[in-house]
Amino acid sequence: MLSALLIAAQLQAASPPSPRLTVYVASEAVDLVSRVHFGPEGATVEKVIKVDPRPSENDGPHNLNISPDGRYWYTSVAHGTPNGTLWKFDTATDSLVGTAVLSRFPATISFSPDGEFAWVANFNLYGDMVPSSVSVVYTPAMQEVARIPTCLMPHGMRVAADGSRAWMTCMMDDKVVELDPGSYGITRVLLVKPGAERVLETSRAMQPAELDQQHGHMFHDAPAAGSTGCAPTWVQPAADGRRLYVACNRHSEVLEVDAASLSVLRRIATGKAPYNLAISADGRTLVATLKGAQALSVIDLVAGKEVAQLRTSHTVPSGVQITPDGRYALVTCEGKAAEAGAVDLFDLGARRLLSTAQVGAGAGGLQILSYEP
Amino acid sequence: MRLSLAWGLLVAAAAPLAAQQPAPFDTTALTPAQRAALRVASVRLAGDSIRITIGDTLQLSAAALDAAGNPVAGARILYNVAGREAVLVGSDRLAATKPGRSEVRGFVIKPAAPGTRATMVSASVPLIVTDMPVTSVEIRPADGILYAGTTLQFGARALVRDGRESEDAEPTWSTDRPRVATVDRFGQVTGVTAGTATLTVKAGAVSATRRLTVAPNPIAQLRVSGAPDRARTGDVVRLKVDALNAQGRPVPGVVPVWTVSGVQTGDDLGARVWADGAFVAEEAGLYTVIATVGQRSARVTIQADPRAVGRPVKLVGRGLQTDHSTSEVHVWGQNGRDYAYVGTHAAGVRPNVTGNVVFVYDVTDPAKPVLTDSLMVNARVINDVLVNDAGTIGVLTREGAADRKNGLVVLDVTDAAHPKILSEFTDSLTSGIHNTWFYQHVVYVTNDGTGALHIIDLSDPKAPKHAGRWETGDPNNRYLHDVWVRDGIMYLSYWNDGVQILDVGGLQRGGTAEKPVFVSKFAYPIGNTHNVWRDRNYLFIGDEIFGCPQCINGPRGYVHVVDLSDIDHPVEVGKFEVPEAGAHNMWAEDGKLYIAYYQGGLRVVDISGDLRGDLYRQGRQVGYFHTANDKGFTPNSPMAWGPQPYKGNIFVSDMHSGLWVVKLDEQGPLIP
Repeated sequence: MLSALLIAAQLQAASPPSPRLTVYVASEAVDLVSRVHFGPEGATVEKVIKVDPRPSENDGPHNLNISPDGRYWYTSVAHGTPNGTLWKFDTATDSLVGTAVLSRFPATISFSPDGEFAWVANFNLYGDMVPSSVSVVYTPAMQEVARIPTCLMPHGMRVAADGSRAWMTCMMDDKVVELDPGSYGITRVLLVKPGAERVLETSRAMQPAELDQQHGHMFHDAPAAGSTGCAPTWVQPAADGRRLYVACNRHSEVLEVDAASLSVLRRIATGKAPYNLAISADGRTLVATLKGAQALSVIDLVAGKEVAQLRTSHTVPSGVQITPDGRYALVTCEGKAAEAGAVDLFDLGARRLLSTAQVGAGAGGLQILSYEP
Repeated sequence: MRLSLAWGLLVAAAAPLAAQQPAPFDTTALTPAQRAALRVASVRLAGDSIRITIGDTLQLSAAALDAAGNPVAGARILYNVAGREAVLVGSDRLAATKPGRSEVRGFVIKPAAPGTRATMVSASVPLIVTDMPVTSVEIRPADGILYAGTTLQFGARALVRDGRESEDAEPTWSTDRPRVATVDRFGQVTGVTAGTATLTVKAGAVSATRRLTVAPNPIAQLRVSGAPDRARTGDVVRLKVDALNAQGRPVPGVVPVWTVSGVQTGDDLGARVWADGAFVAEEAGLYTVIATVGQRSARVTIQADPRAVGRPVKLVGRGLQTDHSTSEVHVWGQNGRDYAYVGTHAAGVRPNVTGNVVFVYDVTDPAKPVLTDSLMVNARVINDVLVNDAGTIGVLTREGAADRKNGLVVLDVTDAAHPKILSEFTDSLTSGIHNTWFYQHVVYVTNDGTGALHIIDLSDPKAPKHAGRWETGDPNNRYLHDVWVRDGIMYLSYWNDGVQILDVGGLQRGGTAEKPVFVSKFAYPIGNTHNVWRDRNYLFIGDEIFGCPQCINGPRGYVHVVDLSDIDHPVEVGKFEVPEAGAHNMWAEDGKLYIAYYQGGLRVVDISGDLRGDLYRQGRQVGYFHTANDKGFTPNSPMAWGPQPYKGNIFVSDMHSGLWVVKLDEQGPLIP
C-alpha cells in the first residue's frame, strides 16, 4: 500500500521543488494521517498512520497540529459514540501517546505558547443548532480541564502567540468570540454580520448565559433561514497579535480586525468561499483556501487585496499552512466522491504549484513538521 | 482501564514535582497567575469528597497554598474529572452525568524555565455521583406460597423523579414480626412459623409495605419430573418439582431452590439450572439436579449428549472485490431473476479508495454472480442499502460526503439490474445516515449527528418529506446506530443506552408508523449495542467492540439472547460468543441465526427450540465459513459484514473480499 502511494506521489510531482518540507496531513474520509516530504526529488508520502479506532465506522481525523516544541502531533477525531476525541502522537515515532474525549465533532486545534494546553473547538457540525463549546486539554496528561460553552458551530480556534487571548469563529451565528485563557470566560464578541459589525463588550469574562442576559438573548440567535451572513470559518491572528483576519466563507471576503478594539479595519474581497487562513510571520501575506473556487487565494496585506488565485491540483481545498518566511504555502484538498485527497506545495513568489502528493480522501488538517528553504 | 490509564498519565505528569525543585529563571515574562503558581506548594480541595446528584451542577472550590500553608492569591487552579460520571461546565463547575464513583482533581501548573517541563501540584478527592432521589418504591411480589421453613424472593422497584428506575438505589428490607418471617438484605423472605407479618422496603425517604402470610408447612415429600432419558447439549429441559403432603396430595405454590453438579471443565461447570427449573447442559456428561424446599429435597440425573449439529458450509460462488471494501448486502428477486445490491466502505486501508458505489449483481445463478451495474453517489461510506418488500423502491445511506451534505438516496429499482436515483433527501440529515428500515409508507433513518430517529414519508418517492422524529431525550447517550422493525415493533440500538423498544402499531399501544410510542428498554453494562434481530420471542442483540484489551486481532463483541415474552421486562437468557472474533450484522430464519462475525467469517447457529445459556459452548454452532481470498481488497483476511439467507444459499458481504455465496450442506458429514 505504501509503495503504491509513493509511486503515485512521485508521478504527481510537477517539478522538483527546492525547499525541503515535511508535513503531516489528516485524511478525514479514510481515517488516515500521512507524513509527506517535499524535496528536490519530488513529493513522497513517507508514512501512513491509521487513526481508526473503529475500522467499520468513519472516525474522521479532521484537524492536525504540532506542539510548539515539535515533539508531538495532535489530531482531532470528529466522530465517536457520540463524542469525538483528541489524539496525541509522538513525532519521533508516530506512536500514540494518549487520547482525550471531548465533545461533538472536535475540529481546529491550537496551543498555549508552552504547549501545555490544547484548545479545541467542538464544531458540532452535524448536531442540532444549539451552542457548542471549546475544550481545553492539559496535554501532558491528555485531560480535558475546561469545556467552555461558546456559540453555534465554533471553528477556527486560535490562541494568541503570547497566550493572552484566544479566538474562535462561530459559523452559524456570525460571531468571533474572544476568550480569556486566564479565566476561561468570554471577554468580547465581535458580530460579523456583513455591514452590521459591532462588538459586544463585557465588564469581565463571562459565560454565554450571562452574555445572553446582558445583551438581550442575542448571543445564540441562529441566523434566519436564507440569510446571507458572513459564516466565519477561521480567525487568524497576525504574529505580532495586532491584527486578526476573519474568513467570511459565505460572503467571500476576509475582514481585517484590530485586535485591541475588535473594530473592522478593512474588508478584502476574495474568490468564492474562503475557508482556512494562514499568515506569514512578517504579516505581509495572507493565504486562504477557496472552497468554492478550487484555488488558493493569495492576499497582499500591505496593499489590502487579493493578488492571485492559484488553482489547486484537486477539488475542495481545505487546510492551509505557510512557511515562516512566507515563501511557500501548503494546501490540502479534500477531493470529491472517489477522488483522492492531496497536499499541494505552492511557490508564493512565483505564484505556481510546485508539487502535489496524493493522500487519503478528505485531506483537511495539516501542519509543517520541518522546513529548510 | 481507561480511567486508570488516564490517571496514570496524570500522575506521571505530576511526578517531577516531588522529585525536583524548579531552577530559578527569569519570571518577568510570566503572567501574574503564573508567578503566583511558582509559590504554590500544595492544593487543597474543599471537603473530603464531592457529592453531586444527577441533574445538578456544582461549583468546585479549592485553595492553592504555599509551603507555610498560606493561601496563594492569584494562582490558577484547574480541575479534571477522571471518569465519565461528570463533566466540566466551563472550567470550575461540575455537571453530573451518570451515577458512580470517580475522582476530581484540582491542580496548579507551575511554569518552568524555557526548555524545561512545567510541573504540577495537585490534590484529589473522591467524587460520588448519585442518582436523583427516589420518589416512589414498590415491592414486586414473589411467586408461590410462603410456607414455614421455606424462602421466597421479593423484589423492589425504586423510581426517580422522571419516572425511570433508579440506577443506584439500595433498598433496605425488614419485617415487623421476625418470629413469623425474616428477610435478608436481598429481599429473600423466610417463613418461620405460621402467622402474618408486614414486609417493608425502604429506598431513600420512601417506603412500601406488603402483608405476608406464612402458612404451616405440609410438605412431606418432593419429586422432580420433566427430565428426559437423554438430552443434547443446548436443549432446555424444563424441570418441575411436585411437593406432596403426608397424605400424598399435591402442595400448591412451592418454589424450590435448584442446584446442579456434574461435569466440570476447568473452572466451569458444564451445565446450568435456572430458578424456574430450566436446565441446560453446555458440555456433554452426566449431571445431577437437586430441588430444595425448606428441609426437603429431591434429585434427578440427566445424561447430556453432544449436540452434534456441525455441518460443512460450502462455497457456491462469489463476486470478488479487489478494489473496494464492501459493506451491506441486500438480495431480492424481480421477474424471476435475483439480484444482490452491495454497498461499499472507505475502510481506510487505501487512501484513494472510498465507499461511494453500490454494486449490482445478478445472482440468478448464485454460482456465477454477474455484475450488471454500479451506482455512484457522493459518499465515503454506504453503510446500508435496502429494497422495500414491494420491490418498487430502494434506499441507500450516505456518510462522509465530500460536501458534508449527507443523507438518504431513494432508488428506482423497477429495473433491478440497473437501479437509478429517484431522489435525495438531506434535510436535517447532513451528518449522515448509518442505517435505515422500510415500514409502511415511511422509511426510518438514524441521524449520526443528533442520535435521533428520523421518519421520512416516502409516499411520493420522488419527493420525500419529514414525517417525524423520535429520540431518547438523554443527551449523554444519544448515539443511535441501528433501526429494525418487525410486526409493528421497532427496535433502536443506542450505542451506550441499549435497545429501545417502540410500538409502531404492532402492540396496540398507540404507536403508529409516524409516531412511535416507547415501550421498554434493555441496556447492559458493556454497551456497544450495535444491532438486533428478533426471532419468535427472542431478541438477538449484537455488540461491536473495537479497541478492547482482547482486540489484538480485531474487534470483539457477541450476540446477547434476550427473552421478550414479557416485552415490558426483557430478560437476557443467553449469548452466542465466538472467543476470537467480533459479531456484526445478523439474520435469523427457520431456526438458524446467521452472523457475519467479522474476522471470524460467517457463523451459522442453531437457535431451534428454547434458548438458555452459552450457545457457543453448547455446540449450537452449525457451521462456519472463512470469507477470505488471496486476491481480495485485503487478502487472506476475513472481515464478514452481513449475511442474508436466500433461496437455500447464504449471501455474505465481506469488507475485505466482496460478495460470497455459500451453502450449508445439511446432508454433509457431521463436523464435531
